[in-house]
Amino acid sequence: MTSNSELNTFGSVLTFAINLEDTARTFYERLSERDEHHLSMDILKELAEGNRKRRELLERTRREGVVEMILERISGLDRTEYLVNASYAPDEANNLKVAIELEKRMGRFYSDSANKTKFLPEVSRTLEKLARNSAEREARLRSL
Amino acid sequence: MERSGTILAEVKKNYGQVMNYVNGRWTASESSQVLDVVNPATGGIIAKVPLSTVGEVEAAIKSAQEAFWEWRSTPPMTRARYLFRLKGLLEEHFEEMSRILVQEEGKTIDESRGEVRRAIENVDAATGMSSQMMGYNLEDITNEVDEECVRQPTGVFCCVAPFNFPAMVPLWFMPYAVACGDTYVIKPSEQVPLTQNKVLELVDEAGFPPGVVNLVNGSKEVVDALLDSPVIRGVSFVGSTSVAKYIYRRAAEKGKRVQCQGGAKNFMVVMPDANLDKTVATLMTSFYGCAGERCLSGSVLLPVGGVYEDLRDNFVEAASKIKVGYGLDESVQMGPVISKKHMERVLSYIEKGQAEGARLLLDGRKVRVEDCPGGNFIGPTVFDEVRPNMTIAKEEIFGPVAAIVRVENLGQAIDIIHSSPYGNAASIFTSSGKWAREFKYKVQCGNIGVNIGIAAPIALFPFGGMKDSFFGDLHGQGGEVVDFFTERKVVISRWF
Repeated sequence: MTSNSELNTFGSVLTFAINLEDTARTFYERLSERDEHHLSMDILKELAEGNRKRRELLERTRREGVVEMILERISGLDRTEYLVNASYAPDEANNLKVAIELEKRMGRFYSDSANKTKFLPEVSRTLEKLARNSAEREARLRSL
Repeated sequence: MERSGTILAEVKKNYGQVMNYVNGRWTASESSQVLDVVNPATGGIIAKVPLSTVGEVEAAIKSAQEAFWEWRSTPPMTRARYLFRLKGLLEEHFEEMSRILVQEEGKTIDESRGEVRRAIENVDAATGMSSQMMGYNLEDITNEVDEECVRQPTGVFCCVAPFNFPAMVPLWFMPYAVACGDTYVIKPSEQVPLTQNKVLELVDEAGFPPGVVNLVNGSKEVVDALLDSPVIRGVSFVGSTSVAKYIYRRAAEKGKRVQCQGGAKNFMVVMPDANLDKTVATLMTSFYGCAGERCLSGSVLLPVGGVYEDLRDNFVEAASKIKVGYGLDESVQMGPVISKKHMERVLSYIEKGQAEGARLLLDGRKVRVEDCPGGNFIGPTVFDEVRPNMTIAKEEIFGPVAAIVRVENLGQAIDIIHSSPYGNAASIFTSSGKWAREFKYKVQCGNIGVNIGIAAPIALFPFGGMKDSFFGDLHGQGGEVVDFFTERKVVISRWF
C-alpha cells in the first residue's frame, strides 16, 4: 500500500502540479497587488500569468497525455518534499525568499516527476520543459 | 472542480432517471420497469434506468430511418463538420465525462480519462471519412466503356454496448457510421447508461439533425427489437461470447451485417531475456488495470524457463502494493468490479482455483476499503502452480485474478494459447527479435503485444479478435469501418 502523501498515479502527479501552479499564482497576484512593493509589479504579474499558462498546459497534458494502454504505477514521489508555505507576509525580503524557494521546489518537482513518467514520453517532455522554465523563473527572482 | 488533496468531486450525487434520446428530443420512457444504477465503489444508487418498451425502440428506429435520406445526401465534408463540433464539445467536457465514468463504472480516474481520450480519438479518425469513403474507377474496361465503384451510405445501424467501456465502445462505431452518411441507434449497457447519456447531450449540442443519432435505454427486450427490425441494416456488439453468438445468429438470420466482439482469455508470455522491472510494471496494468474487466486484460501469466521464480516474486510483490479504492481518489490504482453479482462470480473463481489445487499467493478477498464499505472490491489476486486444464486457466474471469502457469519453452506457451477457445489478445515480453517474430507470426489472436500488456489498437487500426472472441467479417475501427458502414455499387457506362 502507499502512503497518503505519495504521488503514485499519473493523475495525482498532474493534479498536484496544477495545484502548485494555483498556489504560486495566488502568491504572486497578492504580492503584485501591494502598494509598497520591493519587487517589480510587472515581473510579479508576468510570473502569475506564467502560472496561468502553465496550468493550462498541465490540464491539456492531463487530458491528452494519458494513454489508456500504458498507465504504469508511479513510486518515489512524495508531495511533502515539494510543498512550500507560500503565505503572504509583510516582510518584503521574506517574500522574495519564499518566491525563490517556491520556484526551486517546483523545478525540482517537475524534474523528478519527468523522470518518473518516462513511460509517457510526451508527458515527461512537458514536465522537463516546466522544470527548465522554473529554473529560469528562479534565476530571474534571484537577480532582483 | 478540484478539491483539496487528490479526492476529486463527484459530478452529481444523483442523476435521476435517465431518458431516451429520439428524433432530437429527450423523452422519458413509459416503461414501468426501472433498474437502479449503482456506484460500484460506494454501493449507492446514483440514477435509475428504464427498460424501454418495444414501441420506444421502434420509434427510435423510425426516427433514424426518416432522417436517413436527408443525412445521406448531406455532403460528406458537411457531415464531418458535425463531428468536429462534437469533438470540441467532448474535449470541453472531458473531465466531467471522466468523473461520471468513474461514478458509474468504478474504474480509476486515470483509466477513465484514458478511456474518454480513446473515445475522442475515434471521433478524430471519423472526421477524415470524406476521403476514406471515396470510390475508384477504370476507364476503357472495354473500348469506350468505363467502370466505377462508388461507396454509398447504407441505412440505419445500431450498437449494443458493454458495461466495461461505456464512453469508448459506442464511439468505436457511431462516429464512423454517421460520417459515412448512415443514421444510428445506441443501446448502452443498462448498468452504465450515464456516460453515453452525456455523449448524447453533446451530440444534441453539436446540432446533429434530429434522428441521425438516437439512444434507447434498456435490456434484452430492446436488443431483440433492434435485431428483429427489418430497418436496421447492421449491428455492432461488444460483450460476452454467449451473447455475441446469440446476437450474431439472430441478426444474421435477418440479413444484417454483424460484428460481435466476444469474451477473452489473454496470455502473457515472459521469456528469460525480458527486462524484468519494465515487464512487471507493464503486467500490473495488464492484469489489474480496470480491475481486470477489460477484454484485453492479462489473465494467464506464462513464465518461460528460468525467469519463473524472479518473475513470480516480483509480480506478487508489485501486485500486493496496488492501492484499491474509489477511483475518484487519485491515489487509487485499482477500483471495484462492476456489481455484487459479478463480484460473487469472481470470488467463485478464486474458490474454484483453490479447490482445484492451485496455490494462492495473494488473496484479494482480504482487501478492505474503509471509506467504502459498500463497494465491490476485490484486491489483486495471484495463483501459482496453475495447470492449463484448471478452470481458472481456461475460463474468462473478468476480474483481478492472475494465474501463473510455468512453461519450459516458447513452443509450449504457444500450444497453451492455442488450446483456448478464445483468440482476443496475447503478449510476449522479450529482448529477442527472433522470439518476438515467432510469436507474432504463429499466435492465433487478433491483438498481439510485444512488450505491451494491453494490446489495444488505436482508432486507425481494426480491433482484432479471432475464434470465440469475434463473430463477423469486418471489425470495428480502422479501415474496415468503411466497408461495414457503406454499400459498394459498381457502375458500368457506355455513351452512344
